[in-house]
Amino acid sequence: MALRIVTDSASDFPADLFQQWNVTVVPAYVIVDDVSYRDGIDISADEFYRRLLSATRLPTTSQPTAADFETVYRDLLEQGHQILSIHVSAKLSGTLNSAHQAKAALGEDAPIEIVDSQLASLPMGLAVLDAAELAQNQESLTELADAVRSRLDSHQAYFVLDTLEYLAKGGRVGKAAAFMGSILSIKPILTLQDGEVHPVERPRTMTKALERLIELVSQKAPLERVAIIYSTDLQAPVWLRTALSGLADREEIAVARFSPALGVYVGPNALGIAFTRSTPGGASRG
Amino acid sequence: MAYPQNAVIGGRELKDAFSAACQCLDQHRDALNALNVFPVPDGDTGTNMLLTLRAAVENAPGSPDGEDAAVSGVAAQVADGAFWGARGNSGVILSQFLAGFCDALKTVEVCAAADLARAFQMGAQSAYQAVGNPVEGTMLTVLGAVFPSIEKLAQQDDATPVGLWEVGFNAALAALESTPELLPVLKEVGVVDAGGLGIVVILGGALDQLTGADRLDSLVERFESAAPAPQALAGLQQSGGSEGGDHAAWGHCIQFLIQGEGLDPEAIRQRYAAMESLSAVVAGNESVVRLHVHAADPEPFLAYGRSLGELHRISIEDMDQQNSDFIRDAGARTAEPPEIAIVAVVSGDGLDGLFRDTGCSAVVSGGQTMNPSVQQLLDAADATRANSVILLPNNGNIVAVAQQAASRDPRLHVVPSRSIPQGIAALLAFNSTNSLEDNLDGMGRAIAEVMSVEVTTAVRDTTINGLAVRQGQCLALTDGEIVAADDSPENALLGALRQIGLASGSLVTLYLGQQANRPNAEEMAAQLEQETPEIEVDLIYGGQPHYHYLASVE
Repeated sequence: MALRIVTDSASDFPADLFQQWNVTVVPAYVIVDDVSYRDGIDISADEFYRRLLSATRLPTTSQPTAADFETVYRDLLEQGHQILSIHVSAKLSGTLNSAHQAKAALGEDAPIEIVDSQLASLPMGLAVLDAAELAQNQESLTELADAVRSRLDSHQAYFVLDTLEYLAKGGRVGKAAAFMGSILSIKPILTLQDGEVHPVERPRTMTKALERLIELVSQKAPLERVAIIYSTDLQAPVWLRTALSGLADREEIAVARFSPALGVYVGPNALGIAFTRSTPGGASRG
Repeated sequence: MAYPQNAVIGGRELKDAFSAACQCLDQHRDALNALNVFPVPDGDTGTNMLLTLRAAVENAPGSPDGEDAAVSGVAAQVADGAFWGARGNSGVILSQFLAGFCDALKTVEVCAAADLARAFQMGAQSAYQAVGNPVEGTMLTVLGAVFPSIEKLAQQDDATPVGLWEVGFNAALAALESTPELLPVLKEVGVVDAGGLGIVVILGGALDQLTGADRLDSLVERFESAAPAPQALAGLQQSGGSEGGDHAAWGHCIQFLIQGEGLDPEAIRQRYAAMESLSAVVAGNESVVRLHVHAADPEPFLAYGRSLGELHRISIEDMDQQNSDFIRDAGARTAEPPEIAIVAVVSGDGLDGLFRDTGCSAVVSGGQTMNPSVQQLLDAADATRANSVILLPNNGNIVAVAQQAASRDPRLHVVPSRSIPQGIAALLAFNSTNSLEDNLDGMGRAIAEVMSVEVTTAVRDTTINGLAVRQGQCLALTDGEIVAADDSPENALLGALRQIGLASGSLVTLYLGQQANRPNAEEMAAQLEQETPEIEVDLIYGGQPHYHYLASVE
């Protein structure tokens, strides 16, 4: 019997890394031109972003169903595992509802702990990775869940979007609505706070925005990890990776791509830097 | 000579002296404005000082039965009125002078020589303190010259306040004459400082009232003749100086009733017709007169109305829907007042909309030649109902007024933006979810990071920074410094931008003014993008008067 981690595709983490840690990813659905695709499985990021630009109607998303979760949970339970299921913020998606329904269907005694990460995208991915690492040395599911919850605050990210249009049309703009409406072209810098999108700054150019992104992340030092995420611009992550080198305790800087389910909201040319702040007992691990 | 031998000045005499000074300022304000125009239409020194002093005088009604009032009472009223009515830098400095001057008299029943000397001393001190970075060769120099000239004299037994006033006035006159020597830019253009002349007019007008003489006009004539002749000011008037301004852009629809006794509608009509307005309709009888006028500045109309009787049913509608009534209404419609609101001073319909859309709670109409008063800013700030209000003056001439407003209301804070591009940079740095301190800090940093270019029309021939400029040519100023002149506004702007040296990846935002021509602007934008690879040029309609283009480079 072991502790296993389940998450959803809004965690945006490279699939091979998750496989390494035995993390199971339940995909959301992306609907493009009336066809439903399993996020990251039935539609590739390249294909998705190409169609995002050409689609006559903006693609939409839908959360994994309770049945999807039930299947995954049942599988793991049958193998004798206990489950920590960590998901995208309830303020951004109904994914947690599906997870709770699945757990209820499996009976109250099923060893499943469901955690609202209050995050989305790559910082959520870091939280999941962190949970998977903690699970290595844990035997109690409730203790693991407590540890994961207590460390959620240390995972964060700053994102820069080319436009707020996709986020607004997708109904996920949150408090960043304050950055809308101006006829000036801006490159909004956003973060996640209290489980929703939060405005940070409004630089006018992408160059300035990336400089600020690095400054903002640097101000959060000491850092355990940093990771980079992008939607369509392949050049910027290379530059960011160089600029961020040496900033965090762990040298490797993962580069991830916004999965289609997130791409619906961030749009083309979006970038982000996710990080985990060093915490006592955290920095010494790995 | 009305009071030559009087050992003291009483409250009524002081009030009359200020009133007379106000009338003199009214007569000389065009000349002051004209002196102040070099080399671009500048801040209406004469108008600002007049409106400030008028507010001061009107706040001190005096006793109706002609009995003398205490100097202390008049002084308090004058200082208070000046404070609330202060407009423009020169108005703020004047109001601060009056604050100090009157503070010295606050316990004085009648003003003796020593009291007057102290008043001039404290007035000058207060004026200097009002300016963050005092510059000599300005009205400060003129104000500062009075006390040293009378300090010793005031200690003599036979000194009279009127005698001191005369000596002080002569010293102010001499100081005015020295301003071109102290401030090179005045010498280059060949004028004395307009604000300094305003002070001389005020002191001289008061002195003439105190002595019964009529010397002022002959003494200041030579300074005023140095200003461009009225016909040479055509350029200024076309470009919207407040004394011949572009009413279509600035218009207020002003209506009110004057209730009084023995009113003369015909005389009132003639008086109003002589004031700057597009149209004036006056109707009524000897007890009620109704006025309906379209004009740039409602203040003089209201002021004159008030001098005749009580005003009722005052309605002032800004054609651009920017007046404070509108702001108040708009504010009232919003359910929840913001925690932190931003109030910006802006002119031009495009910029007005841009500031509102980008997060301003209220926009107060004003700019280069139309400076809002302290009271207007306070009203607009009040109407936001926010716990904290950040003021963006967006013009160097309005920073001091904004700071004065903030000094009166602890909820108000000033981010001293000196241009529209700076104001926009500050506004974009605002984040309603951050603390006030973080916002003030971030907005302050943002204005330092943006480079502003302004293109306007020269109103007279001049040579600045070795650059020969002909009247009617277009000038480009980078962060307030004239850097290029050309017959075409686009070329002047291109000249300035080339001098800045645009780096790859720069963003140039061009705000097109009322007078700008969009096809020309588009052509210029294309040329810029061709010259420097990977720069971006954003063309935005600003609709601002005076400036063909405002540009920011970041």
